[in-house]
Amino acid sequence: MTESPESSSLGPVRVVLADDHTIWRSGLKSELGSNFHVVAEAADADEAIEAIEAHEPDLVVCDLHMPGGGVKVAKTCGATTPIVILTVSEAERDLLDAVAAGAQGYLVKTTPPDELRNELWKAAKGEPVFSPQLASLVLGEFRRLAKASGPVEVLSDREREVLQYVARGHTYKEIGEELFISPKTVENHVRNILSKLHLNRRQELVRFAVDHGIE
Amino acid sequence: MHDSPLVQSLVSGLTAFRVACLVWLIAILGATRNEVDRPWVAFALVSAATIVTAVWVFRLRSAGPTALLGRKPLAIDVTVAASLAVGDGIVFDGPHSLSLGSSWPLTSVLSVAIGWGARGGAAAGVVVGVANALGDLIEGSVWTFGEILSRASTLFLYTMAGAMAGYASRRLIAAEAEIAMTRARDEVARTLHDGVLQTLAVVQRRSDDTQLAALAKDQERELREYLFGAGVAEGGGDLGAALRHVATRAEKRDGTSIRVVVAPDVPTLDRAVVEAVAGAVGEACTNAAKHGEARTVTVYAEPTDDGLTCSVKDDGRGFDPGTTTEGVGLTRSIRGRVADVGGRVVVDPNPGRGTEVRLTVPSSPRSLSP
Repeated sequence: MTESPESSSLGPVRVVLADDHTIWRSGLKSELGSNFHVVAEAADADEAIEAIEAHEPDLVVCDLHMPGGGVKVAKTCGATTPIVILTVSEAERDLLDAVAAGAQGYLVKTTPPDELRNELWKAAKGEPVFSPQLASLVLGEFRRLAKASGPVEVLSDREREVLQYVARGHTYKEIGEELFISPKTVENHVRNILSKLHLNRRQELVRFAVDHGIE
Repeated sequence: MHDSPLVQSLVSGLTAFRVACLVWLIAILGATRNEVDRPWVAFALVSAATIVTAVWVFRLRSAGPTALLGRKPLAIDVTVAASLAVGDGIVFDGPHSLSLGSSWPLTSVLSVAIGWGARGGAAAGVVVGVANALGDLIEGSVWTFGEILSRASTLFLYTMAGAMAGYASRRLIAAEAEIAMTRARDEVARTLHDGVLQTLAVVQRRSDDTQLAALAKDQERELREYLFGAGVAEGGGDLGAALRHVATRAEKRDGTSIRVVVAPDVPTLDRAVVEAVAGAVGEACTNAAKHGEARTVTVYAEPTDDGLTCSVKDDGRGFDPGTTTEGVGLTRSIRGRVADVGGRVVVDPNPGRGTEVRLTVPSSPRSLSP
């Protein structure tokens, strides 16, 4: 995840755009500006995975509901490439699944262009794109896991504190000032939270498989 | 009543049971042929049951289950069942080891239950149970206390079987209908989601006309509420809906952009608490725009051990509590509302970084405010 800043520092961020609506892709492409270069476009999950493997982009921007689903792309390529999921609704159940599967974060399709560019730029550099809504979903997920049986990676007090700040609408910079830590440290906390979420999901899947006799 | 897969399978199962009962009926007659006193009556009764069973088997294939559950077919069904029960007393004069009127009539009771529900099933059970007792009366059995008890328990058994089968099948049919409706709505939601909602999002993003963009945003919200119901769509139940409502009003009035985030697992709150929180949040949003010159506001609610905590954070200039008297006045109505339900308010002025108002409330109002 940390390789992308080096490669992108030489030129624009190389992006794969995946969305089944052409109007979206063309609109987004024109909005991304000169700091981004779209190397490939895809209309479904399989095409996106193919394009990612062929082009090794710095960033993938991927619709949640295209055929095949954004979750599949996150699951397949999330470990090697930063993936940002685009969605029209933040209340989607599969949004959390996409992030737990390995997406770097998500953006709502109504995000204004300058903010969108900003967030995607950060995402390409390996920074998790964490909105208050996502922080809230993740906090809820950890509360759910705490009540469920079986061993879980719990959040440290500091991590929960950071996540609550994000949910309440504070920026990383503000959180850093509030907690007397650097924004980079805040970012690290968020990254650790994501990997714990990822780990818990996988353990839960394994437990489910064992409980139900699936090999 | 409709030809749903559930009714289809219930009636198919019952038809199979019916055929088995008919075979049993014929087997009984074969086994007890030495005890039969009026073979012609027995033959007529078994023929009637055979015809009804055959009609069920063939009509089910050709016309579907609904055709079998109509008023007329079920009336004939119960008549044959009752005749069998009464006929038992005519076919046999004296005591006999097996009875004609036991299992096959039960299938009729169950059919009526599926067709007409618990009351219909119970009524059919009473008819067959009484017919059974009548048959014994004709047969001339001695009405000892034990015998009476036995008839009563048969009557009770048939009635209960009818009632229970009717109740269970009605519940199943209702559940199935509900599932079908939810599926249909999900289907509509998915279609509109991929089409109309996406289009409205495109309009909001790509239109330079702010009025058009605002209209698209309104329409999107309305469509979403229609599709998923206000509370369900974006989570948070009553509280989520109430917070989004006040946020929308404040957005329109003050021109700010308000993001409402409600944890998926907020507890169900007392009406008064929801109203107090929503009122206070609306107040705080207005203050953020009026006094803090905020552009965006985040409203966040999450559960606590015994209630809820809700924050309103803006990106305005904050205020210095040491030099501003404003801070005291502007939070008075917020504090008042929250204190009324036994909650507390903390105001974090954050000079230069935006104000944050945090409310903590119990899930039901407490008279003693701490």
